[in-house]
Amino acid sequence: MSESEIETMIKYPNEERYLEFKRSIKWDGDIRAKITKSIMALANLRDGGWVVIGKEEQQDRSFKLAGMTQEDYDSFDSDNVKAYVYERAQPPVVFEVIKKEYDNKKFVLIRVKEFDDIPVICKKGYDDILHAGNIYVRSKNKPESIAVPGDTEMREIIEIAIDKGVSKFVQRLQRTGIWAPKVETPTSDDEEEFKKQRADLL
Amino acid sequence: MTEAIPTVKETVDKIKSRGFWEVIIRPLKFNKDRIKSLSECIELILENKVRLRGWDYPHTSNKYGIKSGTDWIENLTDWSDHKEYWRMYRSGQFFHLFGCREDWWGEVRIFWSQQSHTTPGYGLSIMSTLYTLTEIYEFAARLAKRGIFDDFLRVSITLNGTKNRRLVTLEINRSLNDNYICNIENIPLSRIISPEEIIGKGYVFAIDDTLNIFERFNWFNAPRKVLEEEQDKFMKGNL
Repeated sequence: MSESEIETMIKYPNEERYLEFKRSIKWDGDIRAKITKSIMALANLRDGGWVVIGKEEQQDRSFKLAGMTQEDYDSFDSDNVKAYVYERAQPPVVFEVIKKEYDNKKFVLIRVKEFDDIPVICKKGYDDILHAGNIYVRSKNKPESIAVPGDTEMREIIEIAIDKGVSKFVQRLQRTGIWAPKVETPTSDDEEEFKKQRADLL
Repeated sequence: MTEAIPTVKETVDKIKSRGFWEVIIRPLKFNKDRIKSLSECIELILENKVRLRGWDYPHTSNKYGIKSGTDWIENLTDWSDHKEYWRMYRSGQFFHLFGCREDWWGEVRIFWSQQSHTTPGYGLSIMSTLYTLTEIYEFAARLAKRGIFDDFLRVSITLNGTKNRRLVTLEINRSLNDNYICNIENIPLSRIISPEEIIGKGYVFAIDDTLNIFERFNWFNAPRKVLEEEQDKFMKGNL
């Protein structure tokens, strides 16, 4: 991950489905469970996502690059965070904890990778925040992490898993030479029609 | 004070004022009603965009919002070094213009603005080129999986504003031994492929196109193996 991509995530003006902002917080108590929930939800999203800690929401709903206190910043020890999350997520989530100073302020970024083959399920609960057996996802309506609320979200996760399977299968067939896609030259191309469609932009 | 939202024309003009990429992904056969509705066009973009390096391809700006025309939807972005405009038509034609980020780095990054290779028109980042092409082909593959292309699709990519531009490497651990400079104004690349091909080996086309571009910069022996390794890391999110 290049410096410029990390900077982009820090400076990005608003939350997105794949991007969650948090003010300066300490890796402790309930916060650990809340962040773990976000990490699991982001792992179940196509291409994964990010948690950026050190951004403060203002009254007008914009986010200020406030940074983190030294104590909060120091509390995010990568090994501790990983140990806590691994204990609660199955299969294990792949993520990294990045510490970054920007504009003389401290930020912690957690970059989460999309699940590999099987969606991530919570295997160990915590109070009322995490429940064993739940699958967490990012809400489509607002940037928050929630247990799968309905069939649409469940279908989305299943589609990601199927897509991955299809890609791997097709790639394997082509690599091994068992199956080669058709290579015949198409007879016609409606280039002019498509060109006309975008004429106002040329 | 509310920041003014640029118009499409302002954004397109701004993108074209410096080096820029133009991408068209479309079926071969024209059918203006190929995609049932504009809502389905929105869903196609949002559910298939590619996000391998934080920033997504194509990006959808909430500030501008997705707007509709007669038979298309559009979105624009003018934020930091990201200048983009895209349209998705109900015919299945996806049109995307975006600025070479290298040409806008000087204005947004204080640290880099001192370096000569952030001067507009100066450089083309080797790795960023590979990543951009990988994102384009991955996006096309994801659309192909949704079955919108019939038998064949065309992917056309043009890199504009390349004359006198040179290849640059921004990674601390990499360097180029020679100056590789382009002598032509733009580099057009186009291929017709089947959905099965793009799903199965879109990543190979991305490497091929990367090498094609580098050849136009007179770099004829770029190490394919190194690019493949970098691409593999990129696609697995291991950068």
